[in-house]
Amino acid sequence: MKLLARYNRVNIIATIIVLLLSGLCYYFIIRNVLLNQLDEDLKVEEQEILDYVRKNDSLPNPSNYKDQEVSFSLNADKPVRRTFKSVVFFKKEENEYTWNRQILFPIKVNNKNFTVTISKSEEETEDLIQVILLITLAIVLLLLFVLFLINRLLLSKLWKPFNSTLRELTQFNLSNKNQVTLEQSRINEFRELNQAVRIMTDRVKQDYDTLKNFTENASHEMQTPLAIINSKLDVLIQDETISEFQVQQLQGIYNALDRLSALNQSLLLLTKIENNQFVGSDNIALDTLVKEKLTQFEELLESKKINVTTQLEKTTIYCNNQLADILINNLLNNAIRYNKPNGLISISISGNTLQIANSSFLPALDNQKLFQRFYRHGDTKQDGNGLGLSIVKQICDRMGFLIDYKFMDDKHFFTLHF
Amino acid sequence: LKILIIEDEKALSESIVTYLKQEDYICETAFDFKTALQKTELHEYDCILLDISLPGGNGLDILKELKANDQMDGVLIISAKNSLDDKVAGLKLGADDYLPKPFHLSELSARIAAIIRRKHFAGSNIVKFNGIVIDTLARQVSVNDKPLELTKKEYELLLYFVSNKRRVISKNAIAGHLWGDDMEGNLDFIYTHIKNLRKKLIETAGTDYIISVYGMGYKFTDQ
Repeated sequence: MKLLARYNRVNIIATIIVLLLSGLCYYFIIRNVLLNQLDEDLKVEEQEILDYVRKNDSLPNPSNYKDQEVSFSLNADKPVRRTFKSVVFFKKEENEYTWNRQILFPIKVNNKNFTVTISKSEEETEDLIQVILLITLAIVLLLLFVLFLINRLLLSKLWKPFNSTLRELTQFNLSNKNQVTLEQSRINEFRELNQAVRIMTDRVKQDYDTLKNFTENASHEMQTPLAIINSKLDVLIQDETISEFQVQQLQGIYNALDRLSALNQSLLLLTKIENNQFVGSDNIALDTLVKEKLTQFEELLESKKINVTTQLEKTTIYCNNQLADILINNLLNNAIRYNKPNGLISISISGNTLQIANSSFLPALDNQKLFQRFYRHGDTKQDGNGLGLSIVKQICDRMGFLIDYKFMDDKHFFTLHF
Repeated sequence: LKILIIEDEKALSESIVTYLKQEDYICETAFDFKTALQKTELHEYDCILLDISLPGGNGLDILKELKANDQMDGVLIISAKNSLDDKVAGLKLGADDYLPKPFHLSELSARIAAIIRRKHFAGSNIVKFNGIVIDTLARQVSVNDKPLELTKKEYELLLYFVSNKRRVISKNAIAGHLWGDDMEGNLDFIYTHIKNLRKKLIETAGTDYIISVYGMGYKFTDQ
């Protein structure tokens, strides 16, 4: 729930309750005042009748005019108590109930007890109250509307710096060189927020840059010692007095060195992709690229007796040349490396997907960890450095492609959506 | 043939010199920018191995200087920075080749041989070794005047062997040369190619040129 919505809800509910209560009070007070007014009028009438009776010692004619009715009735024994009351009548001619205010009072004429009833219609009072209530209601609605509007406009405006900061933060990208641009605000809270955000993003960026540079520098620095070891080995094996045992040891060193070099290359490549050092993209014929790569892997495929089936539609993708090459290379390399002898690979390009499916000695892979650095399935042999798919993922992220994995019918499927 | 090795890592420079001397190259070394510049100004070399990051300056500036003076020395850049930008920049400035570190000395030797061939025998790129004649332009091979039909990989393999004749080349170096870095961990299938090349050479020349060294590498020899 939005802060604004929550604030508005509380605010409006409170306003409605207060306004309803005050409307209710209003109603009762006004009604009371108006009834008192009516009662005063009735008292005047009463006085007139009393005066008439005192003067003439007889009752006046019952008269009806306007909204006023006067009637007399004879009381057998006790005189009635003087009372005011509201009575409801059914008016036949108008077919509705109306409220009347009545005064009942006793009067003695010729030693006979009469009850005088004077009724006055409350219609006017009701009308007045109705009008007043309507006006009140209108004011309530208007007030609510204005409140709502003010909240909406003013609060939206007030929260603008916050929203803009939030937008900047969601778009914040470490690999992007741009600084976060934060709106100036006169509100202290927002100024403090922006300041905190700026300090935080600067620090994060700085740390990230340091780390990035560290990886790149470390990888670069490692190339030279690797080159030295390599060259020393190359010189060493020229020695003709070298024994078979020594050669076996040297072969171990060579293999380890190759792995270390490859690992270093992969780390460097990852850093470079992260650092956006591959610039410029072209339209690349994906089907041609796949075919080229398959030719490159020909010997490897033959040596493992892997059967390759392809179904390649003519498709172009917009991608950096080198990255496209590495992407397809890594996917195919995996499909071959983790395949079993006499296994199969099927590659299809259709629509905007490339799918590579391969049989393997590996069971289903963990979809969560698959693209993590240095993740390798427990059953894999030592070859492969666990960076191939991280690089694939990194390239996809960079180029705006999607890659997903599934395991079906004992086959691993990698699907690239571009 | 004179070669200048501009490389600040003395250990690496030393190995390179040891390896190349067997090929009868005359090797000189420079360990920093200033010495390198002095040497290139004073002498002409058939090939210069140039490291880009040097104490005292950038290797690419030496390259610029060479080109400004119209010196025809072949230049092979050896760099710890395997970056396309460096490669493109280097080649644009007139370098003949680019080899990222780490590399096998046999690979280095083959690349140097290729540069020198291009520089010296323009138009007639012929490599000879004990009856084997390789025309590197036409990519044709004959042994004792009999033509030898080779596949692309076998041809590359033969040229690589001849460029590193009489020296032991590790399987790792051969795999790296023929398939690049992608094949790490898969050295088995180079057997097939070596076996085939060896068979063809024996059939045509009656000589077995290739000696296996305890299964770790091979030596191409005329003995």
